[in-house]
Amino acid sequence: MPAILVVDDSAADRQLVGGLLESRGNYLVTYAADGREALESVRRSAPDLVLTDLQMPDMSGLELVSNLKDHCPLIPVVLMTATGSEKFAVRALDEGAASYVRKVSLSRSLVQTVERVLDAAKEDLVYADVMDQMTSNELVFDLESDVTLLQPLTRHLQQLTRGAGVCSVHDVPRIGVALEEALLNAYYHGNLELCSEMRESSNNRFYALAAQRSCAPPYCARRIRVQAKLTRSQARFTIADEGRGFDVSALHDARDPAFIERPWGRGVLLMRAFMDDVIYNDSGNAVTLVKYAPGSDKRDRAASHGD
Amino acid sequence: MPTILLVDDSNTDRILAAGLLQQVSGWQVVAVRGGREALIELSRRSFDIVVTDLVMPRMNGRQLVEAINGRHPEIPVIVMTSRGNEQIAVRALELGAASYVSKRSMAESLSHTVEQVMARSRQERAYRRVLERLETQRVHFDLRNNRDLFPSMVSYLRELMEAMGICHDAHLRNIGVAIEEVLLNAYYHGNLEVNSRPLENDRAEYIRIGAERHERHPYVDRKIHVTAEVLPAQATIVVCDDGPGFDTAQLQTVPGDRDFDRAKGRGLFLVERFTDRYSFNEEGNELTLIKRRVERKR
Repeated sequence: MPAILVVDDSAADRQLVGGLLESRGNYLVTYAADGREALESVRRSAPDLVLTDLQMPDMSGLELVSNLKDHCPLIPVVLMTATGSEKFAVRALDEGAASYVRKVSLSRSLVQTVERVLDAAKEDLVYADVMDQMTSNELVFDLESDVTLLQPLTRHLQQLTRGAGVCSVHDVPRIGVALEEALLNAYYHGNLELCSEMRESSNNRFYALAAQRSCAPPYCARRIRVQAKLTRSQARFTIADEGRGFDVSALHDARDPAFIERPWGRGVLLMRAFMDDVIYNDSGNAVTLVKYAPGSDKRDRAASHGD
Repeated sequence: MPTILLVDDSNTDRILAAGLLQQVSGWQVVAVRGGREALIELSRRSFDIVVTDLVMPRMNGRQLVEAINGRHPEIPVIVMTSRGNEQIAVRALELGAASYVSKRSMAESLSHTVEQVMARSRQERAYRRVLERLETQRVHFDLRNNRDLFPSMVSYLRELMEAMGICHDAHLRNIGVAIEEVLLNAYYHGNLEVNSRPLENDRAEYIRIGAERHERHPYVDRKIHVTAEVLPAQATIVVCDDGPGFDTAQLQTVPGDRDFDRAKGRGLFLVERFTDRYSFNEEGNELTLIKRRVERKR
């Protein structure tokens, strides 16, 4: 039986709404008198849906919606709006509420709306279940050397990594940062052959030369190739440029403070901090970044080192 | 230079809004008095965004949102609401408006909202450019043999195909139907070994035998293996089951033969109609579908 938490500061409205839900549907109804009480109740036991009034003392429906979105994004929230509160309803829908019912038409549309939202939420759970059964996702991108593609590509790979469920939500943005650093390295240091010491002395000169080289041969014809392979146990990205590469042995002391302070040391440092493995090929023009799933077997890690 | 189409029948409001937008350096504003004029402008030149009033004579803002969504789905629309028409604003947002601004707070929020929406649409365009550079994209699922998962599996694949621009609207719905038929075929004929012929019609019988078998050995451990290769030019979807397969020669009847449709069953009939190519492997436990890109009609 789906559990519904009804939040309203008016006892009469709580009774009306609870009565409608219990008489016309098969629900387990619990109550809270304001947003704060509602959050406590959700913490104790998560309902399948929250049905809330908008205007309440202490914590308004709007605050409740944004709070639930941050902390329990899978619980849908339905608003009850009184005449005159439509403006807040629009804001609450923007904030992430799933639907709304006008208080004047509760008896006509409350149960129907609640049912629809519960159905949609259930579909969401099944969808998440299907995503859990994805065993691998492999992609290869072949990009012209265009710096404006790098950020959207990073975001896309970040999203896919999240969808593949390889790592914790906390790690996803960090993987994004590591990927973006690797892509920027491939672009500036790889394909455009700009050395980072120049950025150290003058940022402006560095970017001016970058702009100039980005439309001059041989730099402009160079491409960046990105391979991603996401499985249940690891996320593995290889980013290859067509530049001359660099002396990989110089990277040994990447954690040396003197190294960190250099502009290009930062990128490598971030990659190493956020990924479990950062492996360059011998010529230094391709880097492979790997993140292992928490709890993935050590032996798997050792085995994948070899390939 | 970003170009904004502003639509409002009220002279005061139009001049006010245009003034606010023109203050932002680099923005070009074209202002018109109504929905019809707006559609004429839109057919003449390209705009980055439309900002429209909601309540206007003849064609109102809501109808304009709907028309733009149909003809120029790539152009985002912001609606301006005055006090009292928030309900209409909600409906406009449901119809596909990208955002809204209250007329009372235009001075503080109009240009900010326009900037926000333009940034989002720039991001989407960049995202589409990135997807166009995909050379390979192969997703693999090992699904438990449970038909409750199929609608979500189908919507995932549909989203993937839509994001890659393979097809839209009715084509997308159709390919969804075809994929669902193939999954049902893998479930009933393949893994649960109901009936020797694939994709046939007698659903009640399937469901009865299916319910009886699906928690028993050897059926219970069987999976449905779905591989989707989705590229800008075409999508290839391979569905393989763990069943014993079937004799695909049964399908070699001659088109026009009275038995033709019956032999193939409704499922395969739909698959044939809704895909560009399909084929079974020799064992008959794997079906491959191909859907080529369909350009959107303008």
